[in-house]
Amino acid sequence: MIGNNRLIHLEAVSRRYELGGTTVTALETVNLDVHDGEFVVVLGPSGSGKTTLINLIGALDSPTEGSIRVAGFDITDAKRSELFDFRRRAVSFIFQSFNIFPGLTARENVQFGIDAAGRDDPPNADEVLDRVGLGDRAEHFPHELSGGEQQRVAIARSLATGNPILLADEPTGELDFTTGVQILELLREQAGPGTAVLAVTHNREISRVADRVVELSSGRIASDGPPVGGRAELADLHW
Amino acid sequence: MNSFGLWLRWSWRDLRSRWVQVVVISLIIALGVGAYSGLSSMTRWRKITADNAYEQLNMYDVRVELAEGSAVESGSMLAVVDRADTAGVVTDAEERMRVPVQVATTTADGDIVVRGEVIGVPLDNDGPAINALFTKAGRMLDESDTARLTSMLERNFAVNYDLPAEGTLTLSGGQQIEYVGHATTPEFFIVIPEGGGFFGQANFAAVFASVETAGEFAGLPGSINDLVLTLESDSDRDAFAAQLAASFATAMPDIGVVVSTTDDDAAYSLTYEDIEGDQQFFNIIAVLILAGSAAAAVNLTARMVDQTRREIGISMALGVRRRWIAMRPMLMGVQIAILGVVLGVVMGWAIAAAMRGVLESFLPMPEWLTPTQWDVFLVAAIVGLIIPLVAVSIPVWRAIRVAPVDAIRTGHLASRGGGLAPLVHRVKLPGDTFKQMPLRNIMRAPRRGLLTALGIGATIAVLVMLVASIDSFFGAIEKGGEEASGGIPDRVIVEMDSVYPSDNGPVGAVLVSPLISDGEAMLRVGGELGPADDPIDVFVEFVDWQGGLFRPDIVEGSLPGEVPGIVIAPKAASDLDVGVGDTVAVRLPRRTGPVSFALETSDLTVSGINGHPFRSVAYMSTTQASLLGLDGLANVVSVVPADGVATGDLQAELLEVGAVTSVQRADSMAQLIEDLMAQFVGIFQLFEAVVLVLAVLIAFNAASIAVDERQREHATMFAYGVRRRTVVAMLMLESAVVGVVATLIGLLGGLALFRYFITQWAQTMPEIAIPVEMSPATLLWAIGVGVVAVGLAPLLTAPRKLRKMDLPSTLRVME
Repeated sequence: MIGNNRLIHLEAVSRRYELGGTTVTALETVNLDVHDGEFVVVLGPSGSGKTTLINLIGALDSPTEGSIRVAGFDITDAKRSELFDFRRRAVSFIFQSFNIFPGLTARENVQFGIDAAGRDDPPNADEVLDRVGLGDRAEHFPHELSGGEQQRVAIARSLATGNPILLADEPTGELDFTTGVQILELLREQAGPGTAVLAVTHNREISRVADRVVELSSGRIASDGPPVGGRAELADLHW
Repeated sequence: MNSFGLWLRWSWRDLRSRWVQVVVISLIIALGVGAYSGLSSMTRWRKITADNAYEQLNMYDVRVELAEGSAVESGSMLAVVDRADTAGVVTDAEERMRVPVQVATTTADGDIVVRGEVIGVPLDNDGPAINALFTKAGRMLDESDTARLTSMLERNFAVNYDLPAEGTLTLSGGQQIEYVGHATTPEFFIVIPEGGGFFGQANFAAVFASVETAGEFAGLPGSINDLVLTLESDSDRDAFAAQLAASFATAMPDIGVVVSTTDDDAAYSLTYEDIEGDQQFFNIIAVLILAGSAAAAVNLTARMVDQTRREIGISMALGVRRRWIAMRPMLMGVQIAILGVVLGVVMGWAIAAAMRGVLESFLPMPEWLTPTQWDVFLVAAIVGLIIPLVAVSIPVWRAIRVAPVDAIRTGHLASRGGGLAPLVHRVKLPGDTFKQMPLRNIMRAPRRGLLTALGIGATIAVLVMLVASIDSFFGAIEKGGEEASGGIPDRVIVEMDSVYPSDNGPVGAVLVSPLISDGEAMLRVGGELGPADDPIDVFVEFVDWQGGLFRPDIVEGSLPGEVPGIVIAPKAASDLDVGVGDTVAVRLPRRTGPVSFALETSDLTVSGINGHPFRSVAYMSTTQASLLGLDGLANVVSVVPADGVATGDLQAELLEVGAVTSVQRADSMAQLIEDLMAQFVGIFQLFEAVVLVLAVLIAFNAASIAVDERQREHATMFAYGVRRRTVVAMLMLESAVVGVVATLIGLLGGLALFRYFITQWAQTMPEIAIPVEMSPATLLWAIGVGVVAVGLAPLLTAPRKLRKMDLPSTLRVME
């Protein structure tokens, strides 16, 4: 159920890089709004600007032009310390290669998310692991888990922060089909009242399960709307 | 692919990309190579310089000393030698007259009065020929100075007080004598204080004059009490000495003689044994430093091999031979080693140059021979090359044994085991994950943590060994001072040149001095303990146990009772393997005439053990003085200055009493040695600074590698809003935990090494029992270096690297 609360608002955002004397435009005049309850997939081939977009929304990067407002924070010209604060309270990342901490168990990785957010009413790490189906793997280290399980730990860590926006960069990129579908299902479940999920992928099949697909091409939004042919069920996916 | 140039260029690029870590490891290697080559060069110089000096100044082979207080007519000792059966092996012999005196002079800081000795030597025929004098300043004595009040001053004493090349000395009884230069001679290359040790120059002035002049000072014109001889080079010194002792016993039955050889000379033996001991010390320092560099090299190479794991796998898949694959990291190791060795040779040369000045200042050899020790530098260079290469080869060897498919594998499939982390994951650690993660990280890569701890621990061991040595040495000296004071802090010892009635004459004059509040006449005689063929020199004080002023500390047993007994030092008891109640042979002088003493051996019961760290300190009861024919006589007065009277005031007054040879605080030796050792504090501080730098360099290297290795983890933390200072604090905590382990290793290793050196020193300086003790300050130093400095080391690298991190790129980096 898509809500009325606008969690992400990008207005005329551009991002350009200087590379060896050449200006490379990664994003050009992008406007985007994402509301709570939405599961948005940003689709595009390599070099289309989708990772730049997610980095800007997550305040890992700053726009050259335009303004960005996320979860009530205006991060366009925010100071570095404000950006740290923003990331701690507004967004949570899920990476293609998981990036969970190899020295910590599954439970401890989730606890890290809780500690990083530092909320007054923190969730219980075991309960969060239960939510992603890893209640019985809490004591395991990453090297003892499968790829799908590691990504579930990463999702659990993100959920544990309690932040309203989940940003997933190619979350199924390293996973086999079956596992990838399970992860997508898990991500889709997280979009609800007060929260939104924005996933980046080059896999058009994945975009079929989204509420909305934003397709990028050469740094511009080529299309923005429901998946072509309507939203598919997970069981209908294949790649 | 087997072009050597390609691999060389590739490894050179690897090296440049990690230039900071490479330079750090090279510096660590350089310190090891430099320390070994520089300090070992010094050892060589000392050895060849000492050999040259003893030969140039014709060190005696055998020496004959008459018992303390004895003297005979000039020529009579030479006559005994002439009559001996073994006279044929004697190449030269000279009689001398040694007279204990007080020496007073004026320094820039004021007047000083110290114990001293006029050493009368033959000045005819450009003498003395044996234990010749070498002029360090001023002019040499010559035949025209015979029987004149002209002398030379021992160089160590003169330099210690910065005295001019010429001047006037006041000796006991107020007699004045000119000195015309500073001289050194083998017996005073190192000034050995009474009772043992070294660096006695602050409290002892040797004055060289003609033998006739010395006789006049003693009030015994034409007398001598000392004989030195040189022998044919192939003769047996010990056998000759034994036969000569027998000849003297026959010729002078009423006078005790001590016949000794070169090896018995304290300065001579200390000179050579100290060289060997120091070399061991330097070797260990260099080895420990090189071990630290090896640990650092292993860490860096392992990191580099990890980073190139996929490249290694691809090379394997392309069919490149393993030896070529290994060449790239090995070539980097070679380049690090060469850089380290080149820097080390330069550093060694600089250390050697600096130490040359120290040597020339503290050891007054006639001529310092300091040729460049190419072979030492070569050995250091080879060791400096081999150690990092061996260190580098370990991770390389491990890497090229991996199956290509494993090396090429990417993503989560490439993730390795968690090290020892599973072993401790059930351990409940305090704090949040930010506080727990440093320990988890250490356990995750235990080898690197351990190598880092070993490297830092090695340097801390050097620090602990150095500082604990100083602590313990000072501890022994201080303890000696306390024991000598006998609970009377201001106790002053007034020594006489011979024995006198204990209630009149010069002793009485001291006792009635208005400058003292209390005093007692005592006897103090030199003698020997234990078997005649391997005795221990002792000074026996005869103490009035009943009502005396001075009460030595008895730590075991009791004071001598009705049966004659002796209280000896713990070190003497240990060396002689005797305890309370055992019997020990005691050889003491027995008075046979006004200026003659015979040495007599008695078997006495060890009635107690005193607390003095110097093994030469022994006590008997005044009631036993009759054993030596000395009842009612004294040669020492123990006094307590009156209120407001300084030791200097007492020295000045008693200088007028001719028989007085020394007026010193009982704990003066401890104070003077401490003052003198303070001159070395700068060198020790330099060592400590080097150790500190080394530990920080190794910790810096480890931290720098850790930051590189965990950049994705750090980037992930930043993505979750964890602040940079939190990440830096985590790195510091991790480094500090390694520092704690390193400190423990360093403390244990340092104390083990220190214990080893204590056993070595027991051979070099057997006279002193050096306790194994470490001051709280040393402990704090070790903790400071090991925990605080190492803990702070990440600050040198982490903030910069984290600030420069490209967050989006780092997060997307694929394995």
